[in-house]
Amino acid sequence: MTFSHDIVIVGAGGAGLMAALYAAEEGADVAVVSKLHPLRSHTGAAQGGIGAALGNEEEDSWLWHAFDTVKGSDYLGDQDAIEQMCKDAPRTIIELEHYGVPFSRTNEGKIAQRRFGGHTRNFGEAPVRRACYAADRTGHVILHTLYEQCVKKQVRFYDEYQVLDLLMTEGGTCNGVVAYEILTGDVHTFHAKAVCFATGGYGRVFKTTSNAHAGTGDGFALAVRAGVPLQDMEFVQFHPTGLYRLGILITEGARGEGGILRNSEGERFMERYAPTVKDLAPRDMVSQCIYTEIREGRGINGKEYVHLDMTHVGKEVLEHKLPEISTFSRVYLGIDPVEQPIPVAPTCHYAMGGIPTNVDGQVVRSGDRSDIVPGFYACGECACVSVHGANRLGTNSLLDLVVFGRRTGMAMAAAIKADNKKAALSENPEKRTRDTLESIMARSDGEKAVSIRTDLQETMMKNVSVYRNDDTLAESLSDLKDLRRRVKSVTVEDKGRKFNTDLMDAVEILFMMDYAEAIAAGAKNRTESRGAHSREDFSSRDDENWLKHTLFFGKGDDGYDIEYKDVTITRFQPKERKY
Amino acid sequence: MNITVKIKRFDPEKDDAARWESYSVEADKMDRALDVLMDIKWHHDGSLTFRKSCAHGVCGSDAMKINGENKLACSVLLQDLVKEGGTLTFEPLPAASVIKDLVVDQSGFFEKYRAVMPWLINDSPAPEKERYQSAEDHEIIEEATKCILCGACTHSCPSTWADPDYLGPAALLKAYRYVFDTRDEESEERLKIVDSPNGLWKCYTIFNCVQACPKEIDITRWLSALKRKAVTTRF
Amino acid sequence: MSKKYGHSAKSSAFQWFTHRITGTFLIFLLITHFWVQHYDRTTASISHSVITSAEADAGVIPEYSDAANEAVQQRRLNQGGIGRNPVVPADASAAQPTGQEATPYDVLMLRLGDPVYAVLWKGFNLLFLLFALHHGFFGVTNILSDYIRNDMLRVGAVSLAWTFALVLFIVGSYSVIVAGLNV
Repeated sequence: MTFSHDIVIVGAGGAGLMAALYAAEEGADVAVVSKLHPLRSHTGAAQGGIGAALGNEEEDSWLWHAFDTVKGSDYLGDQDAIEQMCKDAPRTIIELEHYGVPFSRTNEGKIAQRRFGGHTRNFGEAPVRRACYAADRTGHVILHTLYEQCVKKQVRFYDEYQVLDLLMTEGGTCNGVVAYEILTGDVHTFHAKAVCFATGGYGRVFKTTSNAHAGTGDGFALAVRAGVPLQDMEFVQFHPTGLYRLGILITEGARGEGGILRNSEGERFMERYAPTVKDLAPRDMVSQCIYTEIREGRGINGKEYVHLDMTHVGKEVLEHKLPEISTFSRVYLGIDPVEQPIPVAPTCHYAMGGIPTNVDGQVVRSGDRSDIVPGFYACGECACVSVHGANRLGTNSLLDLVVFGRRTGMAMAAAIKADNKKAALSENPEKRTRDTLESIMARSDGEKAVSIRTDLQETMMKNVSVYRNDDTLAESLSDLKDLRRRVKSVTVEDKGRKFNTDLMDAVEILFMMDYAEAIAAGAKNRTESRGAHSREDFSSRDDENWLKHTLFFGKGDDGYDIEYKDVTITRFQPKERKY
Repeated sequence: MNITVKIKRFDPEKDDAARWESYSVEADKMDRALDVLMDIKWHHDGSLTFRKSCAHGVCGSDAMKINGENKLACSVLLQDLVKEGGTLTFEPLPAASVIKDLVVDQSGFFEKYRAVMPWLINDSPAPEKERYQSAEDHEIIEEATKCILCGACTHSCPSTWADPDYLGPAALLKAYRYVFDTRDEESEERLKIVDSPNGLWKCYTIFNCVQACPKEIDITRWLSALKRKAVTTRF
Repeated sequence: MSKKYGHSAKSSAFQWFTHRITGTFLIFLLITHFWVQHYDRTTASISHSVITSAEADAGVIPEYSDAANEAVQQRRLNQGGIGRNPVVPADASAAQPTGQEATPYDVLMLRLGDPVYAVLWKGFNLLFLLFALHHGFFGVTNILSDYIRNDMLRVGAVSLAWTFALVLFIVGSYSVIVAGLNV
């Protein structure tokens, strides 16, 4: 059947709900379509904090925050967007507080703030307390509060609907999506004046990740299929402290509260690499340093991990400010961080790249920033504004979600007020989707999604993770070509209509194959090291040739095109990046 | 280790009633219960259906009955559930209609949640800065804000088993979280909702919810505070 | 918002609170009851000593305290009766085995026929009756309303339970009030 709404938002995490809330505040008729119940979204797993120069604990300024973000991005972030985000940050946090987010408090009753990696005072002098937090479940309380407010505003939720197609008119205007209702197995069309993607990241293409099983990057694939480019996909953030083997996140807030990384010799090795901020260096650096330590034989017991030592921090701090990570260590590894160091290793955490947008969430379809796709918006991790450049600072992801979610929501509401027409749907908008689903269901011999996915995750982890070189990237590209062939015969065992998660696994692996190439191809082309993209064969940054964004245009089986786009620089000229 | 996994299965398109199915599984004692389910789905029987997402106990997707108790499948290790050669059982949450295998219909659960007006109400003009709240006042509600709404508590409550319309611990805890938030101005209306025949008074302090809660929230304690508040406010 | 839940005008807070109060009182009432009924018979009467049926047979008359003596005299005057033993009916011993202690029934009757403190003991028993019935039947009706999902049946069962409680209260109150009056 066809549902009709002013605005259809795909994804119900922080960005999607923020956009929904602010559009609904303006009186728009908003629907949120999500493959999970909104409260299961991965925003809820964000732990440490959300950055904003509130200056509640010590002097701070949005300009310092902007500088840190630019420097953290290794100068690849667009500085106009970064300025916008850091300026909007305090206002947005205050609005969140007014909506009811239960932040931890200072003794005066203000929002409490803590230190975080890469956040400094006075342009790099010393760490600053900028991360607003609610113990170590900041994302969880923001997600719940936003959902509650959306329910209050009577936003229409379509829970457990997997979006399978993005609808465009001949003229390239976006007018809706096609979604599969998981409960019943029915296919529906959502007809809208504006469509917003807030579909989250792609951590699940890597073997070790802190991301949820749902983090399969569906939005990236749908955009690519609709002819929209993906920007800077080669920049994949590996969080330095994932629980060893499991990849479950141990917040950077742990180091913000005094945690120290140690190698097998008990040495605080970050002192060597970043003498000023030490363990609070940005994530790309810390992850690379951990890998270097491991490669040089200083991993604990010769294995691929180091220790995060919290034993000197004290029971009080662990219990009150970091209760979740203490629980994780105890439950999953049987380790009490009060007494023993936690085994950690880098884990795939965040996609810096994504669907290119401007600061109002409008999707830009080429190197020309004014060339927008009418009716199509994106925000959150799936979008690339770009504020994170080559490496995102901790606390800036939640900030990105709420700042640009808010701006996108308001922009969509304003756009439909200005032009209140829906572009007509094509003759049979669901055909493509139905054909795909039917062919998967009808196939009797083929390969299960799980084996294709496992091989994809293996090659991405082995060849495209923290350290890369031309050989590994070439290998991954040839693996991906092979996988692309295999995925055509993906099959399912569950032939039922109702709640067929087997079918959803198959659909997701189809999505993954459509953008995984963007990560490897972008990385192979970029012959420099910048931020999270670290090439062993090109170990230094090359501003002369590579101070530019990658744009990946996928063409399905016909390969891909890569174009480039300039970086916007306003105040901060690129300098060597030292901490 | 080798274990036998028994799963209570139900396919709405084939079965009239739930049936038990057994699998023999090779697993590690440090595996999560969820890992076992994924292993079965991926390598033994692709039609096995359950919800999952974050896989580390923060999203609340995979609450189910494991060895007779409501737990999150991703937050419990095999070594705490079963011995070598032993049997591990999975069932859907009790007192909920089953959609398929371990997936239950949570619409009733969320209807209860929506009924308690789970949002901050403060119609006074918003200040320029945040609304101040002392650290002590924050601490009153802090534990309640840990709730992930997985449903383990509500579906472990004998009052819910008896009366499916009982608001249940999760919704009442949410009511507590707002009634006791010093920034909220509408606790009276909310108290009228929880002080109803389907509400607060069907909590007989059985403590099943406390035992089931994967986030270790002392739910009964906070519901008792809510009861005292209802009594002192309403007469 | 769903109709099932909306806010209710009728508060159940009072009933819940009463349940707590009656529960608390029942603890003390029960302790008192067990003490006077089963452990220390001499406290069965505050105004005179307790005699066994054997003693009554032998013509022993309870010893009154001064206040009780006065009250007995006064009552005899009011009733115009003479020579009647106010505590143990003359023919009571015939119905009972001889040479034994007074039965709990005797003790109870002594207490409820106490010339001075009968009102106190009757008050105690009425309160005990009321609280126990309210507390118990509140619990029963909770169970009924939890487990009976049919609206009509539930209301019927709950009404029936409370009606039964009322009947028990009337019967109980009557027996407490008339006890000891015929002596």
